[in-house]
Amino acid sequence: MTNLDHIIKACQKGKRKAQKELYEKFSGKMYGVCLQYCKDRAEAEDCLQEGFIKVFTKIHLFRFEGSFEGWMRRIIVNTVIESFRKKQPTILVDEFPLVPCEDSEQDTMCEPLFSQSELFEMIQNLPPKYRMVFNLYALDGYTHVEIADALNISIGTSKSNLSRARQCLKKEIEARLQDKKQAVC
Amino acid sequence: MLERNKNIDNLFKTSLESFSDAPPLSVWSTVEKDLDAEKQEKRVFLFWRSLAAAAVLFVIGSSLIILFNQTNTETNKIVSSFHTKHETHTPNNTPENTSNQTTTGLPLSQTQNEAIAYEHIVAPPNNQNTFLKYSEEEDLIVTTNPTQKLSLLHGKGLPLLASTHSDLSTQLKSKPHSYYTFYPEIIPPTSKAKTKSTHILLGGSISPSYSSNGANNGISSGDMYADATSNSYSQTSAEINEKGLTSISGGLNIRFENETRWSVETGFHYSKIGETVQNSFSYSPNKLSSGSNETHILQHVSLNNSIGQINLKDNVLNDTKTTINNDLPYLTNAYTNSTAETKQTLEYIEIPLSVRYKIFTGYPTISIAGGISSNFLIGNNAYLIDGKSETKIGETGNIKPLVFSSSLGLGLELPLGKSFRFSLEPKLKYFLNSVNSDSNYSYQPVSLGIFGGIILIVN
Repeated sequence: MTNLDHIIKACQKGKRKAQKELYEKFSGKMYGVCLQYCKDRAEAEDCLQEGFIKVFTKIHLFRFEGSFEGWMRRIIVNTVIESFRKKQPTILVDEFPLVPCEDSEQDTMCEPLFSQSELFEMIQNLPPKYRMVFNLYALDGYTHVEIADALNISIGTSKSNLSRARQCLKKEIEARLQDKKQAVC
Repeated sequence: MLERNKNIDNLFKTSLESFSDAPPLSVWSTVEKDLDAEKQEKRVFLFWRSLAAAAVLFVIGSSLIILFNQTNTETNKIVSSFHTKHETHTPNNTPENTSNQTTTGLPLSQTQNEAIAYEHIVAPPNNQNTFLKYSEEEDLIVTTNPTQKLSLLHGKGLPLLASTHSDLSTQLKSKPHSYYTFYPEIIPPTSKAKTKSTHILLGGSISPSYSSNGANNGISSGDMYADATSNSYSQTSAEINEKGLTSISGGLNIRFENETRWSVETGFHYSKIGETVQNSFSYSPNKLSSGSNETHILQHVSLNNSIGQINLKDNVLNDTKTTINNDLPYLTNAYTNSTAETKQTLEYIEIPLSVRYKIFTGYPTISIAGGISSNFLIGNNAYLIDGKSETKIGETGNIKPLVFSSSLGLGLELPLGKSFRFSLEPKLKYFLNSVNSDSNYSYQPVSLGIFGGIILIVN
């Protein structure tokens, strides 16, 4: 049994010391998840706090099957979704036709020319409705059906929001690439 | 294009997968406080749940005790045990005696019971003719004349039709009533909504209840004893004591509630109301027992009470007549104790329609409920009670088959798992119209019950 398992078992018994240990072990990473989804730090802190309370009150349900971090991340993301739905009770955005990308564009955007903080900044700059769908789909592996269900929107709306988010990110990447090229020259 | 989209997704996924940042220290402090509060809430919840369970058990237990006692007394018959004189009479005309015990607690055989039942019918000697005449006219008198009464010689348990002595009858006056009614309510369990926002709850509940007349005016003494005539007794005092009825109530409820604080409920309830009446008076038998100056206390069981007049069963009338014809003893003793009285009960099936509003949505949930009910008459009985013995003698006349009532309740509910709730609800019920169709009687019972039960959330 790993040290993490011991901590989890102690948390299941409600031991405060173990709860603090678990918090210290995962709070940084989970805070990062919240920051990716939320518009600012204050909102991310609220989600982190609420998410950890849920983790501690539901930890007795964890059966040591699969990754604990994955289980915890799912709870945190669900907390963010709940918060998002409370603040935006209406649908994220109306459906609109997908805009095809021009074939002439190059794939250089995918090259790892950007730091983690730059990419994080790009996601933060997305409109909330696009950021939420993109994070769920690209970073957390939700399907459009799951996203539609979680955010109470149609599958079409989910797809269109993802498409628009990608377009926004692509434009941002291209603009930054252009700036970098000019800086090199 | 698809490949390019995947590249964008992967770029962010791989780069941000390990993204982390240190949260402010205040976050843990807040988490810790919330966890403490959660723990405290759990303790409070446990306390309330235990309290609710105890209350529900108490209510159900009380109801069962009342029910048990009622069942016991209703199987008994009137047994007289105050006299030693034994006479044999025609068994066919005697009231059935099912009690195995005398008032002194000694078991009696069937033969003994029959003998005792005919013993000690005491009537003033000077009133023989009056008594007999009265008996012969009993059908008309009992059913049509509000002044008639069944009389019991104190403690003997044998009914005698009352004579027409004006002094005796005119002095029997109704006392102001003060009643407290408890009745059980059926508490419904909860259920899930057909839609996402509507929940159906089904429940069952039971309650000890006490009902009594809410109207201050029963029947007036003038109406009751208007035809009282001769002065065979020199009456010195009289008293009528009407008391409410303790019984059980209960049934099933169905409630429809949505996400708001409002909900609507209906159901199917059983309830019993009624009263017991005991009246007595003392007199000087100066015209009955010549040369005697003793003061006698007679126990008269009135047939004409606030709730309505008792229509005697035929066999009761025959028994009484036979008894009177065969047994006309002199009133020679003074009696000081008697427990003989009448009880009139009305049983209803109630269909309520009420609205409930949650005034507190925490633990426990507190709500107030008010509404109206249709009450359908299903039982109408009158009993003669002597001590612990009880015999059915007829029913109350002119009782309406349908009456309406209003109710007001204060409900406390505690979750018991995801699908059940404990429920405890004191409820006040008031009949909006008199149960008797005769305008001379105004009997609008008020009852108070503490309903305990369980609610099931269906969806």
